[in-house]
Amino acid sequence: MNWSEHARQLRLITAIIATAFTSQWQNKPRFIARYLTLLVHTTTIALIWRFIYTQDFTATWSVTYQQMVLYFIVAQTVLFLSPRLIHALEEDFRTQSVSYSLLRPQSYLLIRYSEAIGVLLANTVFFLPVQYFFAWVLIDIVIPLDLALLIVLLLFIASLIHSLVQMIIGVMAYWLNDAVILYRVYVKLLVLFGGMYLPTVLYPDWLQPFVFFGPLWGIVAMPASVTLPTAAPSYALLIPIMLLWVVAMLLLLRWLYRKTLHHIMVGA
Amino acid sequence: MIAYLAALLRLQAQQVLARPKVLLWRLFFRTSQHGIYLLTWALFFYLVPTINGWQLPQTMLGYGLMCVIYGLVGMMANGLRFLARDIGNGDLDNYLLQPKPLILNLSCQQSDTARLADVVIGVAVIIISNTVTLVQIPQLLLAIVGGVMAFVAFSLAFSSLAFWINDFDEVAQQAQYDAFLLAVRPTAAYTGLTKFIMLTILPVFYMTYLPVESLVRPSWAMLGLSLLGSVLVLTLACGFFYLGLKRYESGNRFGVRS
Repeated sequence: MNWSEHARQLRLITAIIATAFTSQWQNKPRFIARYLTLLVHTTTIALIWRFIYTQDFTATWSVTYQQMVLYFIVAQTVLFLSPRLIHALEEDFRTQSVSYSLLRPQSYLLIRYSEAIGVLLANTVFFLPVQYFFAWVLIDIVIPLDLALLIVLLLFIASLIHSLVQMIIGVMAYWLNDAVILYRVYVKLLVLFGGMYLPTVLYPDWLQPFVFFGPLWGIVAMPASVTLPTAAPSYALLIPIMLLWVVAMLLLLRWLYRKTLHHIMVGA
Repeated sequence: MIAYLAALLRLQAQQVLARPKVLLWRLFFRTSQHGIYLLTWALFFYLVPTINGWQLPQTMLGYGLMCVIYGLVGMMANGLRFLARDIGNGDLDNYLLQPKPLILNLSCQQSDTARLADVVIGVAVIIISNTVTLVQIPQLLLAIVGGVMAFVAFSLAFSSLAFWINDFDEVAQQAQYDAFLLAVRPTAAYTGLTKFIMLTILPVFYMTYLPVESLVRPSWAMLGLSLLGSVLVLTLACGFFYLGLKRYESGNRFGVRS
């Protein structure tokens, strides 16, 4: 591929990202409905924690109420920031309509991932400022700018990993016929091993090794744990680990996509 | 009407049973999903011994109840899951022409038989929670009926927003699942304004909180209140749907079918 071809591809990707970004912004009622859902989820868990922190046994915990709620706000934002790719990919692979896209000169995966980045950027612009404001209203915390920027960066990378996992599960719809159900299992694993409801530092000792050596911890607990001073990991280590997971997921997706396409083409 | 409902359910069961391997896969994934989630709550209660009197058994009872409710609605009225899509695509026309009860016809047009797993798991979790005695079974059944009505009411009302909001199907589908997630949390911690919201706009209190309280501290009065609330929110939801339908019938959406 020569330089002009590279430039053409880059222009195409940029155009897809821009279109996805604009399209996401155009449907404001959907945005608001999605945000209200996030608000309800976060508020209910914050209320549960507020109630728990009125009880004596929390006095020995190393995590304060504010830190706990802030952790949960960041953890929930990962899911809501990420584009919901699963339905589109599931439809394409279950019905095998992905084969039509093979006629195009661009890679199907590249188009879908570019769309995802566009949606992710739109969600970032919308969700993060309101979540920042919400954290201030709910727990009276003004997140320092440097920490806020770090959280934004980690959330963005975490959402990229989450999007890639969704794409992997979406491709599996060809083999399983229903990928949404597998996606729900994945989200539940994310809740447990990612530390979605509870910071993983509070988990029993025997469970912690299972948690730290998986990608799920990288998606939720890693960006969220920067809000906990007791568990603050080295930032210089965090970002490379998360980027490694991006690469690992990309490779897995590529392998699975090729294998699936081969089957679809033989079947056709 | 009952004969029509029975015929619809029989037809859907035949369709799903025609692909047994797919059904088995789905049953397996549903079981795993609930197992993992319950493990999370077990972990939660390992750290937090009690929330406003609720411990793991009460939360498990609420979870079991909600699984049964979610499963029954999915098996009998899965059309509600796609109602927002049908409204958005203008697909209600076909149903409006039929001399059948509209909401029933729309709800029962599809069935997700794999939700049978939710019902089975729900019953198992209720038994394991060890909070319901044999004498309380009629009370439990009534609680399930009330919960089903409240869940249908929420799904119907939320999907009806598609009459006013374009491209709403994904959000509506997700909201129904979110209602499940909200209901299986230890709802005893909600007070004040949140409690009011859970009794009105998001009627999850009729699905788990009131039934669990009425079973754990045996109270027919509380169960009666829960059932009354469920009937009320279902009536309001039907009213909201027909309000949206008026807008739909007025031809707010123009399209040409080729």
